[in-house]
Amino acid sequence: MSFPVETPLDVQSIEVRRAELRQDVVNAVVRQSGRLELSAMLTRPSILRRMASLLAAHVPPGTDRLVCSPGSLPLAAALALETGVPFAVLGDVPMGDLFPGEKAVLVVAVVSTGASAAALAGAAGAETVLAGLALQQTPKIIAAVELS
Amino acid sequence: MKYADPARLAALIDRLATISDAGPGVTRLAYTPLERQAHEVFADHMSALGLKVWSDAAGNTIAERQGSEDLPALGTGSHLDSVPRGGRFDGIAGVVAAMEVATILADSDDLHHRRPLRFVAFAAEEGARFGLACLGSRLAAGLNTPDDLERLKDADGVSVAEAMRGVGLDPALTGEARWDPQDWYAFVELHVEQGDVLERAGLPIGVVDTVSGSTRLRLDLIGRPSHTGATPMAGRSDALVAAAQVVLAADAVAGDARHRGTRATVGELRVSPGSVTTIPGQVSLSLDVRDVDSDRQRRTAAEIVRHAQAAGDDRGVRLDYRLIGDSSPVVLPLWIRDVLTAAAASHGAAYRVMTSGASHDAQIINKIIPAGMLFVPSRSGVSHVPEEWTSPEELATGVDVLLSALLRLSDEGTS
Repeated sequence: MSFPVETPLDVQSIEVRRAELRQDVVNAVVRQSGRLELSAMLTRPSILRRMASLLAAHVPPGTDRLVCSPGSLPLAAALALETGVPFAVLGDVPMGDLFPGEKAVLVVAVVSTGASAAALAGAAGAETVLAGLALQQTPKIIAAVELS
Repeated sequence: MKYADPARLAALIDRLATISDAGPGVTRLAYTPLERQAHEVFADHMSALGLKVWSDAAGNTIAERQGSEDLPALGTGSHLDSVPRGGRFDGIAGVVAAMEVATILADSDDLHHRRPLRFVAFAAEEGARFGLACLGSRLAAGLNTPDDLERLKDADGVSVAEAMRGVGLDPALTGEARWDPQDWYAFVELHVEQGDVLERAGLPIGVVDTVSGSTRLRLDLIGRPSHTGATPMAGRSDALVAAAQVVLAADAVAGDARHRGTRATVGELRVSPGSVTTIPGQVSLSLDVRDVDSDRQRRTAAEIVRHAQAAGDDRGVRLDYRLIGDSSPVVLPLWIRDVLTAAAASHGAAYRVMTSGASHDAQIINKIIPAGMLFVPSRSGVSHVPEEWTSPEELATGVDVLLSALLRLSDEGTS
């Protein structure tokens, strides 16, 4: 038996990986007060790596750019490293390039409502929205972790 | 206020340290009569305090102190088995801490808790004997079956199941040891750090936020034994030379820039036929990869296996390998960490939030109920050796913080 270079030892099903990631995200972000400390999710390489790994398969072939807002930069950077697709940060202090006609994917760290994600995607001209954490199930958003 | 008695803690540590095989340090392996004897010391102590005590089918011993309300229970504890020639604190510190908390509460008229408190001595936490760590807590979490217990064997070919039968446990009944998550609110384990972060920083308390996972493999390199003198160097299939390359590759991979936080160790290496005048024909070695990063842990193991395959191909040595244990790193709940840091701060105990490089029962229990961990310092950061040491005063500080945390958690979610 042999493995390609970056393939993990095949000891976990995708379902187990997703379940463990979900539990780690919940454990990382919920404070004693009940408040969500979302930055705790975005600053852990172990969470970012798995989110990027799970989302990478959903970056459509031919995607030119990942786009994000500043708050989602860590996840977009992780996904860029995983896929090789460059990213751009939109907002008051933009970073990177986004040229007319490019096929873009919106990367959002947390989606709380489908409407907000749709608005962001529309503004970025993105057809696909990938989220690290979705706080509600939304048909058009692909999330690494869902917490309804 | 200080409640824990350092002298009392030292006496318990010393008492348990006498329950050992002969030789340096403490040797009290999983599912041996000595381990059962240590559990009896725990059980007798708790029974004398008036607690209800029982042992489950996995060999875990639990003592319960009633709360003022019928609520899901709080747990604390650790393990009583050791590695061969190990120290007197690894695991034992957490069980002794639980015994001291129980004693403090029994002696106090002023300390009250709503939730029942369960003090737990897990069985078979060390993976040294059977290769898979945390067996007692894994059975409590429902992660292993009786078939697993027949399959896992020690170096002498004794299975976990046989070892359990040898100490009066029935492996077929281990399903009954499974905890009902509805019956538990949270679990907090106190443990010695087994590293030197706290000592170097001069801090008495560590609050753990991530516990490392481990992927363990057995690698068998099969070459061709032959005469050391008559066989030219060219064309040899020396299994030990290939194994040496594997050891060095594991060290290099885990030490490179992509692996900050990864550890990889070959701890066992058996050479056959083991003769001065025979080229090694077979080498069996263990590989233990630990990480706080779940995907990276498995990728690292796979990468080292690739290196082993390449080393074997280069030397005309065949590689066989199998997985002997795998557990994921876990992030411990932030809300319990908040309670632990608040408890430390309330005692004026400076603390650091940190990762645990070692696997622990709390990591396994966290799969079914929320768990937290407290560390107390380890002198010079050494563990798994007779020189392992935490002072009674340091342990007492940990116990006071643990007690405070349990009392805070007892009131959590009850209003």
